[in-house]
Amino acid sequence: MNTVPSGSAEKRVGMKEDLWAVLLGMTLFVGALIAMAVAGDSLQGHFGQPGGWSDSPWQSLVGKGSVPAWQASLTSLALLALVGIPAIAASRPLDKSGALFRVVPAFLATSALAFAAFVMAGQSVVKEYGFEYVFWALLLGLAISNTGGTPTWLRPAVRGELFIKWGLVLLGAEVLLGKLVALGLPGILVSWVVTPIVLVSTFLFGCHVLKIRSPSLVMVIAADMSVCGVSAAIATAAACRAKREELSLAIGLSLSFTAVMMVVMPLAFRYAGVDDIVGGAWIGGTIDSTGAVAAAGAALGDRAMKIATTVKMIQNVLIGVIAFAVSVYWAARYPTDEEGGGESGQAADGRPRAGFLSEVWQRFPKFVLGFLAASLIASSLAWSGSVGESIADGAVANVTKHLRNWLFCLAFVSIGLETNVRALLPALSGGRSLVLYVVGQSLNLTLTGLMAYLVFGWLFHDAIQEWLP
Amino acid sequence: MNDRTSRHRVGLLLILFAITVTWGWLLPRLSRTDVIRQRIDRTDRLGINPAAIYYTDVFVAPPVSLTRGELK
Repeated sequence: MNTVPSGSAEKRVGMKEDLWAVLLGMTLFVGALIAMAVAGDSLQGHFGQPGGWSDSPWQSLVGKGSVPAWQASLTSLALLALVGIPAIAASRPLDKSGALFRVVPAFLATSALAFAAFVMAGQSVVKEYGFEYVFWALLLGLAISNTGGTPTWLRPAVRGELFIKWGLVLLGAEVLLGKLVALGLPGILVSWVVTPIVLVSTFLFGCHVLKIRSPSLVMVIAADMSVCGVSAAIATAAACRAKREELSLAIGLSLSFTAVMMVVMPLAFRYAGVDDIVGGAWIGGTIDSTGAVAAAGAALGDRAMKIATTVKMIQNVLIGVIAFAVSVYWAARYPTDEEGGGESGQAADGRPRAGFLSEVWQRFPKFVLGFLAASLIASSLAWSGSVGESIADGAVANVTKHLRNWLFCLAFVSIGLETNVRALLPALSGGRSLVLYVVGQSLNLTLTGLMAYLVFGWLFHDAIQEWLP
Repeated sequence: MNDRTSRHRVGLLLILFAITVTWGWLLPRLSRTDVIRQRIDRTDRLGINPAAIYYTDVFVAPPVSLTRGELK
Protein backbone atom coordinates (compact mmCIF):
# COMPACT_ATOMS: atom_id res chain seq x y z
CA MET A 1 0.00 0.00 0.00
CA ASN A 2 1.56 3.27 -0.97
CA THR A 3 1.46 6.37 1.09
CA VAL A 4 -0.47 9.23 -0.42
CA PRO A 5 1.34 12.55 -0.64
CA SER A 6 -0.74 15.56 0.23
CA GLY A 7 -1.53 18.03 -2.46
CA SER A 8 -0.37 15.78 -5.26
CA ALA A 9 -2.24 14.12 -8.08
CA GLU A 10 -1.71 10.83 -6.25
CA LYS A 11 -3.57 12.24 -3.26
CA ARG A 12 -6.58 12.93 -5.45
CA VAL A 13 -6.42 9.33 -6.64
CA GLY A 14 -6.25 8.14 -3.02
CA MET A 15 -9.35 10.15 -2.13
CA LYS A 16 -11.15 8.88 -5.19
CA GLU A 17 -10.18 5.37 -4.21
CA ASP A 18 -11.76 5.84 -0.77
CA LEU A 19 -14.98 7.11 -2.27
CA TRP A 20 -15.03 4.31 -4.82
CA ALA A 21 -14.45 1.78 -2.04
CA VAL A 22 -17.43 3.15 -0.09
CA LEU A 23 -19.62 3.30 -3.17
CA LEU A 24 -18.70 -0.20 -4.34
CA GLY A 25 -18.89 -1.73 -0.86
CA MET A 26 -22.23 -0.15 -0.01
CA THR A 27 -23.67 -1.00 -3.44
CA LEU A 28 -22.81 -4.65 -2.94
CA PHE A 29 -24.01 -4.70 0.68
CA VAL A 30 -27.33 -2.98 -0.04
CA GLY A 31 -27.72 -5.12 -3.18
CA ALA A 32 -27.13 -8.23 -1.08
CA LEU A 33 -29.76 -7.09 1.44
CA ILE A 34 -32.30 -6.49 -1.33
CA ALA A 35 -31.48 -9.80 -3.01
CA MET A 36 -31.84 -11.56 0.33
CA ALA A 37 -35.19 -9.86 0.96
CA VAL A 38 -36.44 -10.91 -2.48
CA ALA A 39 -34.84 -14.31 -2.99
CA GLY A 40 -34.37 -15.45 0.61
CA ASP A 41 -32.53 -18.67 1.24
CA SER A 42 -32.43 -19.55 -2.45
CA LEU A 43 -29.30 -17.34 -2.58
CA GLN A 44 -27.45 -19.89 -0.49
CA GLY A 45 -24.41 -21.39 -2.21
CA HIS A 46 -24.46 -19.10 -5.25
CA PHE A 47 -21.43 -17.15 -4.02
CA GLY A 48 -18.26 -18.75 -2.73
CA GLN A 49 -14.68 -19.79 -3.29
CA PRO A 50 -12.94 -23.02 -4.30
CA GLY A 51 -13.55 -25.56 -1.53
CA GLY A 52 -11.37 -27.93 0.44
CA TRP A 53 -9.68 -30.97 -1.08
CA SER A 54 -7.44 -33.79 -0.10
CA ASP A 55 -6.33 -35.93 -3.04
CA SER A 56 -6.93 -33.91 -6.17
CA PRO A 57 -7.19 -30.14 -6.75
CA TRP A 58 -10.23 -30.85 -8.96
CA GLN A 59 -12.19 -31.70 -5.80
CA SER A 60 -11.91 -28.05 -4.77
CA LEU A 61 -13.87 -27.04 -7.87
CA VAL A 62 -16.76 -29.32 -7.01
CA GLY A 63 -17.32 -28.34 -3.37
CA LYS A 64 -19.96 -29.75 -1.04
CA GLY A 65 -22.95 -27.47 -1.65
CA SER A 66 -25.79 -27.72 -4.16
CA VAL A 67 -24.00 -25.26 -6.46
CA PRO A 68 -20.53 -26.38 -7.63
CA ALA A 69 -17.67 -24.38 -6.10
CA TRP A 70 -16.36 -23.37 -9.53
CA GLN A 71 -19.73 -21.87 -10.40
CA ALA A 72 -20.02 -20.02 -7.06
CA SER A 73 -16.48 -18.71 -7.55
CA LEU A 74 -17.16 -17.49 -11.07
CA THR A 75 -20.41 -15.83 -9.96
CA SER A 76 -18.55 -13.98 -7.19
CA LEU A 77 -15.76 -12.89 -9.52
CA ALA A 78 -18.21 -11.89 -12.25
CA LEU A 79 -20.10 -9.65 -9.81
CA LEU A 80 -16.87 -8.07 -8.58
CA ALA A 81 -15.71 -7.58 -12.17
CA LEU A 82 -19.04 -6.09 -13.22
CA VAL A 83 -18.97 -3.34 -10.61
CA GLY A 84 -15.20 -3.22 -10.03
CA ILE A 85 -13.70 -2.96 -13.52
CA PRO A 86 -15.37 0.36 -14.42
CA ALA A 87 -14.35 1.70 -10.99
CA ILE A 88 -10.75 0.54 -11.43
CA ALA A 89 -10.62 2.18 -14.84
CA ALA A 90 -12.27 5.38 -13.61
CA SER A 91 -10.30 5.79 -10.40
CA ARG A 92 -6.87 5.89 -12.02
CA PRO A 93 -7.09 8.15 -15.03
CA LEU A 94 -3.75 9.88 -14.50
CA ASP A 95 -1.35 7.59 -16.34
CA LYS A 96 -3.93 6.21 -18.76
CA SER A 97 -3.29 2.76 -17.27
CA GLY A 98 -6.89 2.63 -16.19
CA ALA A 99 -8.34 2.40 -19.70
CA LEU A 100 -11.15 -0.15 -19.68
CA PHE A 101 -9.68 -2.44 -22.37
CA ARG A 102 -6.46 -2.70 -20.35
CA VAL A 103 -8.19 -3.40 -17.05
CA VAL A 104 -10.26 -6.36 -18.30
CA PRO A 105 -7.41 -8.80 -19.13
CA ALA A 106 -5.42 -7.61 -16.11
CA PHE A 107 -8.39 -8.23 -13.78
CA LEU A 108 -8.93 -11.68 -15.29
CA ALA A 109 -5.28 -12.61 -14.72
CA THR A 110 -5.26 -11.26 -11.14
CA SER A 111 -8.47 -13.17 -10.47
CA ALA A 112 -6.86 -16.36 -11.83
CA LEU A 113 -4.00 -15.92 -9.34
CA ALA A 114 -6.51 -15.35 -6.52
CA PHE A 115 -8.35 -18.50 -7.63
CA ALA A 116 -5.07 -20.45 -7.52
CA ALA A 117 -4.39 -19.10 -4.01
CA PHE A 118 -7.77 -20.41 -2.80
CA VAL A 119 -7.14 -23.83 -4.37
CA MET A 120 -3.68 -24.01 -2.76
CA ALA A 121 -5.14 -23.04 0.63
CA GLY A 122 -7.93 -25.61 0.33
CA GLN A 123 -5.64 -28.65 0.52
CA SER A 124 -6.41 -30.44 3.78
CA VAL A 125 -2.85 -30.47 5.17
CA VAL A 126 -2.25 -26.83 4.29
CA LYS A 127 -5.61 -25.88 5.77
CA GLU A 128 -5.03 -27.82 8.95
CA TYR A 129 -1.83 -25.92 9.65
CA GLY A 130 -3.56 -22.60 9.11
CA PHE A 131 -1.77 -21.44 5.97
CA GLU A 132 -4.76 -19.71 4.49
CA TYR A 133 -5.40 -18.02 1.18
CA VAL A 134 -3.86 -14.69 2.21
CA PHE A 135 -0.46 -16.33 2.58
CA TRP A 136 -0.60 -18.07 -0.80
CA ALA A 137 -1.98 -15.01 -2.55
CA LEU A 138 0.92 -12.95 -1.23
CA LEU A 139 3.42 -15.69 -2.12
CA LEU A 140 2.14 -16.08 -5.68
CA GLY A 141 2.35 -12.33 -6.21
CA LEU A 142 5.84 -12.20 -4.71
CA ALA A 143 6.98 -15.14 -6.83
CA ILE A 144 6.02 -13.28 -10.00
CA SER A 145 7.24 -9.82 -9.03
CA ASN A 146 10.58 -11.01 -7.63
CA THR A 147 11.49 -13.41 -10.42
CA GLY A 148 10.20 -12.54 -13.87
CA GLY A 149 8.84 -9.19 -12.70
CA THR A 150 5.21 -8.08 -12.81
CA PRO A 151 4.25 -7.75 -16.50
CA THR A 152 3.19 -4.27 -17.56
CA TRP A 153 -0.16 -5.50 -18.92
CA LEU A 154 -1.03 -6.87 -15.44
CA ARG A 155 -0.46 -3.58 -13.63
CA PRO A 156 -3.83 -1.86 -14.29
CA ALA A 157 -5.55 -4.42 -12.02
CA VAL A 158 -2.84 -4.44 -9.36
CA ARG A 159 -4.86 -2.29 -6.95
CA GLY A 160 -4.14 -3.62 -3.47
CA GLU A 161 -5.32 -0.51 -1.68
CA LEU A 162 -8.67 -0.29 -3.49
CA PHE A 163 -9.40 -3.99 -2.95
CA ILE A 164 -8.55 -3.77 0.77
CA LYS A 165 -10.70 -0.70 1.38
CA TRP A 166 -13.55 -2.18 -0.60
CA GLY A 167 -13.29 -5.41 1.40
CA LEU A 168 -13.15 -3.49 4.68
CA VAL A 169 -16.42 -1.72 3.92
CA LEU A 170 -18.00 -5.16 3.49
CA LEU A 171 -16.29 -6.34 6.68
CA GLY A 172 -18.22 -3.62 8.52
CA ALA A 173 -21.42 -5.59 7.89
CA GLU A 174 -19.95 -8.48 9.90
CA VAL A 175 -19.01 -6.44 12.97
CA LEU A 176 -22.18 -5.94 14.97
CA LEU A 177 -22.32 -3.28 17.62
CA GLY A 178 -24.89 -5.34 19.54
CA LYS A 179 -22.26 -7.94 20.37
CA LEU A 180 -20.78 -5.54 22.87
CA VAL A 181 -23.91 -5.75 24.96
CA ALA A 182 -24.40 -9.45 24.44
CA LEU A 183 -20.93 -10.64 25.29
CA GLY A 184 -20.73 -9.16 28.70
CA LEU A 185 -18.98 -6.77 31.03
CA PRO A 186 -16.05 -9.01 32.07
CA GLY A 187 -14.88 -9.42 28.50
CA ILE A 188 -15.28 -5.72 27.86
CA LEU A 189 -13.14 -4.90 30.90
CA VAL A 190 -10.32 -7.17 29.74
CA SER A 191 -10.45 -6.27 26.04
CA TRP A 192 -11.31 -2.62 26.10
CA VAL A 193 -9.21 -1.41 28.99
CA VAL A 194 -5.98 -3.18 28.14
CA THR A 195 -6.04 -2.94 24.34
CA PRO A 196 -5.97 0.88 24.01
CA ILE A 197 -3.30 1.14 26.74
CA VAL A 198 -1.09 -1.40 24.97
CA LEU A 199 -1.71 0.19 21.58
CA VAL A 200 -0.78 3.69 22.72
CA SER A 201 2.18 2.55 24.89
CA THR A 202 3.62 0.44 22.06
CA PHE A 203 3.22 3.30 19.61
CA LEU A 204 4.99 5.75 21.95
CA PHE A 205 7.71 3.21 22.74
CA GLY A 206 8.38 2.56 19.05
CA CYS A 207 8.47 6.23 18.12
CA HIS A 208 10.27 7.72 21.13
CA VAL A 209 12.39 4.96 22.65
CA LEU A 210 13.25 2.75 19.69
CA LYS A 211 13.11 5.81 17.42
CA ILE A 212 11.73 3.87 14.45
CA ARG A 213 11.55 6.43 11.68
CA SER A 214 8.21 5.41 10.24
CA PRO A 215 5.30 6.05 12.64
CA SER A 216 2.95 4.21 10.28
CA LEU A 217 5.04 1.03 10.66
CA VAL A 218 4.95 1.41 14.45
CA MET A 219 1.18 1.94 14.41
CA VAL A 220 0.49 -1.07 12.19
CA ILE A 221 2.63 -3.35 14.38
CA ALA A 222 1.03 -1.94 17.55
CA ALA A 223 -2.52 -2.49 16.23
CA ASP A 224 -1.69 -5.86 14.76
CA MET A 225 -0.27 -7.05 18.09
CA SER A 226 -2.76 -5.44 20.49
CA VAL A 227 -6.09 -5.82 18.66
CA CYS A 228 -6.53 -8.89 16.52
CA GLY A 229 -3.79 -9.63 14.03
CA VAL A 230 -4.21 -9.41 10.30
CA SER A 231 -7.62 -7.72 10.06
CA ALA A 232 -6.52 -4.99 12.47
CA ALA A 233 -3.23 -4.59 10.61
CA ILE A 234 -5.06 -4.19 7.30
CA ALA A 235 -7.58 -1.73 8.70
CA THR A 236 -4.98 0.34 10.53
CA ALA A 237 -2.53 0.30 7.64
CA ALA A 238 -5.24 1.77 5.45
CA ALA A 239 -6.15 4.30 8.13
CA CYS A 240 -2.58 5.56 8.59
CA ARG A 241 -1.53 5.07 4.97
CA ALA A 242 1.26 2.62 5.78
CA LYS A 243 3.45 1.32 2.99
CA ARG A 244 2.71 -2.14 1.65
CA GLU A 245 6.09 -3.42 2.89
CA GLU A 246 5.20 -2.25 6.39
CA LEU A 247 1.90 -4.12 6.28
CA SER A 248 3.63 -7.28 5.01
CA LEU A 249 6.20 -7.06 7.80
CA ALA A 250 3.56 -6.54 10.52
CA ILE A 251 1.58 -9.52 9.23
CA GLY A 252 4.71 -11.67 9.12
CA LEU A 253 5.52 -10.81 12.75
CA SER A 254 1.95 -11.54 13.82
CA LEU A 255 1.88 -14.92 12.08
CA SER A 256 5.18 -16.01 13.58
CA PHE A 257 4.32 -15.02 17.16
CA THR A 258 0.76 -16.36 16.90
CA ALA A 259 2.14 -19.77 15.94
CA VAL A 260 4.45 -19.78 18.98
CA MET A 261 2.02 -18.32 21.53
CA MET A 262 -0.79 -20.63 20.47
CA VAL A 263 1.31 -23.63 21.56
CA VAL A 264 3.28 -22.15 24.44
CA MET A 265 0.56 -20.30 26.39
CA PRO A 266 -1.73 -23.25 27.21
CA LEU A 267 1.31 -25.41 28.06
CA ALA A 268 2.70 -22.72 30.38
CA PHE A 269 -0.71 -22.19 32.05
CA ARG A 270 -1.13 -25.91 32.67
CA TYR A 271 2.39 -26.12 34.08
CA ALA A 272 1.85 -23.09 36.34
CA GLY A 273 -1.61 -24.25 37.41
CA VAL A 274 -3.41 -21.15 36.14
CA ASP A 275 -7.21 -21.35 36.59
CA ASP A 276 -8.88 -22.21 33.27
CA ILE A 277 -11.29 -19.25 33.52
CA VAL A 278 -8.40 -16.81 33.98
CA GLY A 279 -6.26 -18.66 31.41
CA GLY A 280 -9.03 -18.46 28.83
CA ALA A 281 -9.44 -14.71 29.31
CA TRP A 282 -5.67 -14.25 29.21
CA ILE A 283 -5.39 -16.16 25.94
CA GLY A 284 -8.34 -14.30 24.42
CA GLY A 285 -6.83 -10.93 25.23
CA THR A 286 -3.33 -11.62 23.94
CA ILE A 287 -3.15 -14.05 21.02
CA ASP A 288 -3.69 -12.14 17.80
CA SER A 289 -6.34 -13.99 15.80
CA THR A 290 -9.61 -15.64 16.74
CA GLY A 291 -8.93 -19.07 15.31
CA ALA A 292 -5.64 -19.34 17.17
CA VAL A 293 -7.38 -18.16 20.35
CA ALA A 294 -9.98 -20.92 19.96
CA ALA A 295 -7.27 -23.53 19.37
CA ALA A 296 -5.16 -22.39 22.35
CA GLY A 297 -8.25 -22.11 24.58
CA ALA A 298 -9.31 -25.61 23.57
CA ALA A 299 -5.93 -26.91 24.71
CA LEU A 300 -6.85 -25.62 28.20
CA GLY A 301 -10.37 -27.02 28.12
CA ASP A 302 -13.86 -26.42 26.82
CA ARG A 303 -14.69 -23.65 29.30
CA ALA A 304 -11.41 -21.86 28.62
CA MET A 305 -12.12 -22.01 24.90
CA LYS A 306 -15.54 -20.38 25.31
CA ILE A 307 -14.15 -17.61 27.50
CA ALA A 308 -11.12 -17.06 25.27
CA THR A 309 -13.25 -16.79 22.14
CA THR A 310 -15.73 -14.47 23.85
CA VAL A 311 -12.99 -12.09 24.99
CA LYS A 312 -11.46 -12.17 21.51
CA MET A 313 -14.77 -11.42 19.85
CA ILE A 314 -15.21 -8.34 21.98
CA GLN A 315 -11.69 -7.27 21.09
CA ASN A 316 -12.46 -7.82 17.38
CA VAL A 317 -15.21 -5.22 17.59
CA LEU A 318 -12.44 -2.72 18.32
CA ILE A 319 -11.15 -2.99 14.74
CA GLY A 320 -13.53 -0.32 13.53
CA VAL A 321 -13.09 1.92 16.56
CA ILE A 322 -9.28 1.72 16.38
CA ALA A 323 -9.22 2.28 12.62
CA PHE A 324 -11.49 5.28 13.06
CA ALA A 325 -9.40 6.74 15.91
CA VAL A 326 -6.13 6.15 14.05
CA SER A 327 -7.45 7.76 10.89
CA VAL A 328 -8.60 10.85 12.80
CA TYR A 329 -5.28 11.03 14.70
CA TRP A 330 -3.27 10.60 11.51
CA ALA A 331 -5.22 13.21 9.65
CA ALA A 332 -4.63 15.66 12.50
CA ARG A 333 -1.06 14.71 13.39
CA TYR A 334 0.47 14.04 9.96
CA PRO A 335 -1.50 16.23 7.61
CA THR A 336 1.07 17.00 4.96
CA ASP A 337 3.98 14.59 4.83
CA GLU A 338 3.86 11.31 2.99
CA GLU A 339 5.91 9.29 5.48
CA GLY A 340 3.71 10.11 8.44
CA GLY A 341 6.65 11.69 10.12
CA GLY A 342 5.71 15.37 9.90
CA GLU A 343 4.63 17.72 12.64
CA SER A 344 1.10 18.32 13.78
CA GLY A 345 -1.38 20.59 12.10
CA GLN A 346 0.53 23.71 13.02
CA ALA A 347 2.40 26.27 11.04
CA ALA A 348 6.13 26.75 11.54
CA ASP A 349 5.48 29.42 14.21
CA GLY A 350 3.33 27.03 16.23
CA ARG A 351 -0.05 28.60 15.42
CA PRO A 352 -2.80 26.40 14.05
CA ARG A 353 -2.60 26.19 10.29
CA ALA A 354 -5.40 27.89 8.36
CA GLY A 355 -8.08 25.45 7.25
CA PHE A 356 -6.77 22.80 9.61
CA LEU A 357 -10.13 21.08 10.05
CA SER A 358 -10.73 20.98 6.33
CA GLU A 359 -7.26 19.50 5.91
CA VAL A 360 -8.11 16.87 8.54
CA TRP A 361 -11.32 16.08 6.68
CA GLN A 362 -9.47 15.97 3.38
CA ARG A 363 -6.91 13.53 4.78
CA PHE A 364 -9.50 11.43 6.57
CA PRO A 365 -9.84 8.03 4.89
CA LYS A 366 -13.47 8.05 3.87
CA PHE A 367 -13.69 4.28 3.57
CA VAL A 368 -13.87 4.11 7.39
CA LEU A 369 -17.25 5.85 7.13
CA GLY A 370 -18.38 3.09 4.77
CA PHE A 371 -17.21 0.49 7.30
CA LEU A 372 -19.17 2.20 10.10
CA ALA A 373 -22.25 2.70 7.91
CA ALA A 374 -22.30 -1.00 6.96
CA SER A 375 -21.86 -1.94 10.62
CA LEU A 376 -24.69 0.38 11.69
CA ILE A 377 -27.07 -0.92 9.01
CA ALA A 378 -26.34 -4.56 9.87
CA SER A 379 -26.65 -3.87 13.63
CA SER A 380 -29.94 -1.97 13.19
CA LEU A 381 -31.39 -4.80 11.09
CA ALA A 382 -30.27 -7.34 13.69
CA TRP A 383 -32.19 -5.37 16.33
CA SER A 384 -35.25 -4.62 14.24
CA GLY A 385 -36.94 -8.01 14.44
CA SER A 386 -36.76 -11.50 13.07
CA VAL A 387 -37.27 -10.48 9.43
CA GLY A 388 -34.54 -7.84 9.48
CA GLU A 389 -32.29 -10.18 11.40
CA SER A 390 -32.62 -13.01 8.87
CA ILE A 391 -32.07 -10.61 5.96
CA ALA A 392 -28.87 -9.18 7.51
CA ASP A 393 -27.66 -12.61 8.54
CA GLY A 394 -28.36 -14.09 5.11
CA ALA A 395 -26.85 -11.19 3.17
CA VAL A 396 -23.59 -11.50 5.10
CA ALA A 397 -23.40 -15.30 5.21
CA ASN A 398 -24.52 -15.92 1.62
CA VAL A 399 -23.06 -12.98 -0.25
CA THR A 400 -20.84 -10.31 1.29
CA LYS A 401 -18.58 -12.62 3.32
CA HIS A 402 -17.60 -14.48 0.13
CA LEU A 403 -17.10 -11.27 -1.82
CA ARG A 404 -14.92 -9.91 0.99
CA ASN A 405 -12.79 -13.07 0.89
CA TRP A 406 -12.21 -12.57 -2.82
CA LEU A 407 -11.39 -8.90 -2.33
CA PHE A 408 -8.83 -9.62 0.39
CA CYS A 409 -7.36 -12.36 -1.79
CA LEU A 410 -7.13 -10.00 -4.79
CA ALA A 411 -5.61 -7.38 -2.47
CA PHE A 412 -2.87 -9.71 -1.31
CA VAL A 413 -2.11 -10.92 -4.82
CA SER A 414 -1.75 -7.24 -5.72
CA ILE A 415 0.44 -6.50 -2.70
CA GLY A 416 2.69 -9.43 -3.66
CA LEU A 417 2.86 -8.20 -7.25
CA GLU A 418 3.84 -4.73 -6.03
CA THR A 419 6.37 -5.80 -3.41
CA ASN A 420 10.07 -6.10 -3.85
CA VAL A 421 11.44 -8.34 -1.08
CA ARG A 422 14.55 -6.23 -0.84
CA ALA A 423 12.35 -3.30 0.14
CA LEU A 424 11.31 -5.21 3.28
CA LEU A 425 14.82 -4.91 4.73
CA PRO A 426 14.63 -1.17 5.56
CA ALA A 427 11.20 -1.79 7.14
CA LEU A 428 12.86 -4.16 9.60
CA SER A 429 14.69 -1.07 10.89
CA GLY A 430 17.71 -3.11 11.94
CA GLY A 431 15.61 -5.53 14.00
CA ARG A 432 13.82 -2.77 15.93
CA SER A 433 10.43 -3.87 14.55
CA LEU A 434 11.00 -7.26 16.16
CA VAL A 435 11.99 -5.62 19.45
CA LEU A 436 8.88 -3.45 19.23
CA TYR A 437 6.62 -6.48 18.78
CA VAL A 438 8.28 -8.41 21.63
CA VAL A 439 8.16 -5.48 24.06
CA GLY A 440 4.57 -4.60 23.11
CA GLN A 441 3.43 -8.20 23.39
CA SER A 442 5.18 -8.55 26.77
CA LEU A 443 3.28 -5.50 28.04
CA ASN A 444 0.09 -6.95 26.55
CA LEU A 445 0.69 -10.29 28.31
CA THR A 446 1.37 -8.58 31.65
CA LEU A 447 -1.57 -6.15 31.64
CA THR A 448 -4.03 -8.69 30.22
CA GLY A 449 -2.88 -11.23 32.81
CA LEU A 450 -3.43 -8.74 35.64
CA MET A 451 -6.84 -7.74 34.32
CA ALA A 452 -7.83 -11.38 33.72
CA TYR A 453 -6.97 -12.21 37.35
CA LEU A 454 -8.83 -9.16 38.61
CA VAL A 455 -11.99 -9.55 36.52
CA PHE A 456 -12.26 -13.26 35.73
CA GLY A 457 -10.39 -14.61 38.76
CA TRP A 458 -11.98 -12.36 41.39
CA LEU A 459 -14.75 -9.87 40.50
CA PHE A 460 -16.84 -12.10 38.20
CA HIS A 461 -15.38 -15.51 39.04
CA ASP A 462 -18.46 -16.91 40.79
CA ALA A 463 -20.85 -15.55 38.20
CA ILE A 464 -18.81 -17.09 35.41
CA GLN A 465 -18.65 -20.44 37.18
CA GLU A 466 -22.42 -20.34 37.42
CA TRP A 467 -22.69 -19.35 33.76
CA LEU A 468 -20.22 -22.01 32.60
CA PRO A 469 -20.21 -24.81 35.19
CA MET B 1 17.31 -11.56 -23.21
CA ASN B 2 20.09 -10.75 -20.75
CA ASP B 3 21.47 -13.10 -18.07
CA ARG B 4 19.50 -11.52 -15.26
CA THR B 5 16.17 -11.81 -17.05
CA SER B 6 16.75 -15.42 -18.00
CA ARG B 7 17.82 -16.23 -14.42
CA HIS B 8 14.58 -14.68 -13.16
CA ARG B 9 12.51 -16.68 -15.64
CA VAL B 10 14.24 -19.90 -14.61
CA GLY B 11 13.47 -18.97 -11.00
CA LEU B 12 9.79 -18.49 -11.82
CA LEU B 13 9.66 -21.81 -13.67
CA LEU B 14 11.30 -23.55 -10.71
CA ILE B 15 8.69 -22.06 -8.35
CA LEU B 16 5.86 -23.22 -10.64
CA PHE B 17 7.42 -26.70 -10.75
CA ALA B 18 7.75 -26.78 -6.94
CA ILE B 19 4.09 -25.73 -6.54
CA THR B 20 2.94 -28.44 -8.98
CA VAL B 21 4.93 -31.19 -7.27
CA THR B 22 3.98 -30.07 -3.75
CA TRP B 23 0.23 -29.70 -4.35
CA GLY B 24 -0.07 -32.42 -6.99
CA TRP B 25 1.93 -35.16 -5.27
CA LEU B 26 3.43 -34.44 -1.86
CA LEU B 27 0.49 -32.93 0.06
CA PRO B 28 -2.13 -35.49 -1.12
CA ARG B 29 0.18 -38.24 0.18
CA LEU B 30 0.81 -36.43 3.45
CA SER B 31 -2.92 -36.00 4.04
CA ARG B 32 -3.35 -39.79 4.06
CA THR B 33 -0.94 -40.32 7.00
CA ASP B 34 -2.34 -41.23 10.45
CA VAL B 35 -0.78 -38.22 12.22
CA ILE B 36 -2.45 -35.74 9.92
CA ARG B 37 -5.77 -37.59 9.91
CA GLN B 38 -5.87 -37.59 13.73
CA ARG B 39 -5.07 -33.90 13.84
CA ILE B 40 -7.81 -33.05 11.37
CA ASP B 41 -10.30 -35.21 13.30
CA ARG B 42 -9.43 -33.38 16.52
CA THR B 43 -10.02 -29.89 15.15
CA ASP B 44 -13.25 -31.11 13.53
CA ARG B 45 -14.40 -32.55 16.85
CA LEU B 46 -13.64 -29.31 18.72
CA GLY B 47 -15.37 -27.25 16.07
CA ILE B 48 -12.27 -25.16 15.38
CA ASN B 49 -12.05 -23.71 11.92
CA PRO B 50 -8.35 -24.13 11.07
CA ALA B 51 -8.80 -21.61 8.30
CA ALA B 52 -9.15 -18.96 10.99
CA ILE B 53 -6.04 -19.87 12.97
CA TYR B 54 -3.70 -17.24 11.64
CA TYR B 55 -5.34 -15.02 9.13
CA THR B 56 -9.03 -14.57 9.56
CA ASP B 57 -10.12 -12.79 12.64
CA VAL B 58 -13.86 -12.59 12.30
CA PHE B 59 -14.72 -15.74 10.36
CA VAL B 60 -15.63 -17.57 13.54
CA ALA B 61 -17.88 -14.75 14.70
CA PRO B 62 -21.31 -16.01 15.71
CA PRO B 63 -23.95 -15.13 13.12
CA VAL B 64 -26.38 -12.28 13.69
CA SER B 65 -29.13 -14.63 14.83
CA LEU B 66 -27.01 -16.00 17.69
CA THR B 67 -26.13 -12.52 18.83
CA ARG B 68 -29.75 -11.53 18.82
CA GLY B 69 -30.61 -14.69 20.73
CA GLU B 70 -28.01 -13.76 23.33
CA LEU B 71 -29.39 -10.26 23.58
CA LYS B 72 -32.83 -11.66 24.33
